[in-house]
Amino acid sequence: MIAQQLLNGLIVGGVYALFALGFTLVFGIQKILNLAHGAIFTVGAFVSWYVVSLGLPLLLGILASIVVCGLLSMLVEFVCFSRLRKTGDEEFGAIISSIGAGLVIMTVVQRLSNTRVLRFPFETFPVRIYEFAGLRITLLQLFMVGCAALLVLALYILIYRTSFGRRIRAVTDNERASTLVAINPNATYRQVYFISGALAGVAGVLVGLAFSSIHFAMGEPYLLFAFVIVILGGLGSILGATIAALLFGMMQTLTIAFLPSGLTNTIIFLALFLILMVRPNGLFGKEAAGALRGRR
Amino acid sequence: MAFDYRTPGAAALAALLATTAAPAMAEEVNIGVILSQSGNYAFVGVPVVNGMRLAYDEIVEAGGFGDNTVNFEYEDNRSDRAEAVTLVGRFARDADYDMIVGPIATSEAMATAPIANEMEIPMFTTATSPDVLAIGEWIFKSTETADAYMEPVALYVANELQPESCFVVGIRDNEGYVTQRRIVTDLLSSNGVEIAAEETILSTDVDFTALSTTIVNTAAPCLFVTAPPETAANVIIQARQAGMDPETILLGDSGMGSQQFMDAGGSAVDGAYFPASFVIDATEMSRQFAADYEEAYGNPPDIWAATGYTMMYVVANAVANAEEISREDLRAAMAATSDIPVVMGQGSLSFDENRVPHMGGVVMRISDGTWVAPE
Repeated sequence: MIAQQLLNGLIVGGVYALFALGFTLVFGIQKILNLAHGAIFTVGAFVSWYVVSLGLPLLLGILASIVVCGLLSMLVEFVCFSRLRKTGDEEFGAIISSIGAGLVIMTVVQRLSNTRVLRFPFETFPVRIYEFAGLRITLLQLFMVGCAALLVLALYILIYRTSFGRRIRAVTDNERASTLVAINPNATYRQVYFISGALAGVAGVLVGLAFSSIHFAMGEPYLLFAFVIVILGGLGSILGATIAALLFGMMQTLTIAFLPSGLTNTIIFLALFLILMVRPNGLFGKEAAGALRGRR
Repeated sequence: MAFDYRTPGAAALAALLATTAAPAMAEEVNIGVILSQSGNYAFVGVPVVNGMRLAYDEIVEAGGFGDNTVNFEYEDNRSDRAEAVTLVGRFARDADYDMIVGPIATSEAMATAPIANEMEIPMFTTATSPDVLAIGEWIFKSTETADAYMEPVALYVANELQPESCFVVGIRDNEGYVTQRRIVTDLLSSNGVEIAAEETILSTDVDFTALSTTIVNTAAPCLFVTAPPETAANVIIQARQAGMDPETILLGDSGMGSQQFMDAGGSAVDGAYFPASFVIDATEMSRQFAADYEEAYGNPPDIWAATGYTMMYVVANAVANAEEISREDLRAAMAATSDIPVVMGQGSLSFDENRVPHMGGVVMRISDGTWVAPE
């Protein structure tokens, strides 16, 4: 039973990781909290639902969510952050403007959906259950964990093993200096926002599939979870966010399964406080905020 | 008084009103309606309002409010208890308002009923818990008490289907659902069904991964879920996705008789048993109501649409029979409600001395996306 719940937690944590990585990526490079990230995640679930409800394949829905959410995230960057960035004092302003952007997106989604709770048809994903070593895993869970693992790995390679990743890290280290080596910081930022939005979009689809509940406010609790995860993992740290998301998923699942109802959030936030008392910068954080910074 | 009712339901009420209506001066009656059109309880509020509007048009057309002009002001409290409190306070303080219809949830009604009772304005809620009536004589409810409507389905499962054990899931943030969970749990266990486990969730929860694993591992042959329809459907869907035995007996509350539950659950909720206070084919009156409702709104009525329709006729009866249009006389007329022809239950509604409504209920089952009486 414990092993099964741990497995469940790992799978849920994988989805949290996708969401939190997009959030921490933006913070890592710009030190900006993009509070519209939850709304973009919501759009991902809705786009995929609309595609599937048109009778098109789920895979197409996921691709549509990636593209739409990526572009929407770039739009948020353009509207909310690009001009603020020029002031050089964008951190607080970015919080306000991204809250506004998130509210606008949520309101549009609310109007389009008539405040309904939508869900993928039960048969969208075949119910197949596999057993190994006494553990059960469904095809949907395998799909979720596969997507999460693939995307996290791809992001890691992209950031740390490609020239594009070097550009991102160069801009993170010193935006002005990066221009001396022909890097366009604005273009780099836009590309990072696209990746961040795309990750949120995929997370939205997976959550919509797994939890059968797609509604305009679905991103709000995930934004709170993402805060916990990125703080726990260390602000801006990709590895930290990934591990923290998995820990968070397992902790959440175990508390729901084995502790009295209603204690889940209490336990999770208590654990967060305790960890921060011992490691104020999170499990993998670096003091200068941004584990992307300083990597060669 | 001449009536020209379009439906048999209205005709039946017309006959009743024509024989019992008190002679009264033509007056203006203002009624504040507080029903959630959005949020968690919109699944109740939207069809209730639809049913009320349909009934209102019929009653006005037939002169069923007597010589009075009755105005309804509809407000959406967005499933928010605090907003319901504010709105009830607003209507109660305004001397122009004579009655309040709503709010929906027991949690909202428990918070607002003391205000209505203190300020002496009749409040007619859809809350399921009988506790709301204990707050005072100004409070009325349209739903039968949970022990009345849950008993037939719980006993049917215990005595006819006879599962060895049952896994119980219910939300804990609404007193009405908590009461339903307690009543069914007591009825099942006192009739030989072991309660394998009892888990509570929040109405806003969506991740039932851990719960589903527990349900599957417990392997109880029966699952009772009492929660808002979409949440209940979600629990069942995720339990099925986690590998719950397809033969598991599904048992739920009256929300499973809503279109939202079937839309949300799809084939995953096929076979679920639930208590029904409204069955379209029960009477000629209910069939006519269903046809009119579908013509007006494009979809068949659910239990809540029938509830709204019924509530409007109960209010019309009270308005037509009040000595004078005052809060006190409307309260007295509401309390005197007896044998009103309705589209719900066994076809007539009466309030007993404790203002508990009685209509009778039946057990229904979902089969291939429709409601049928179990064999």
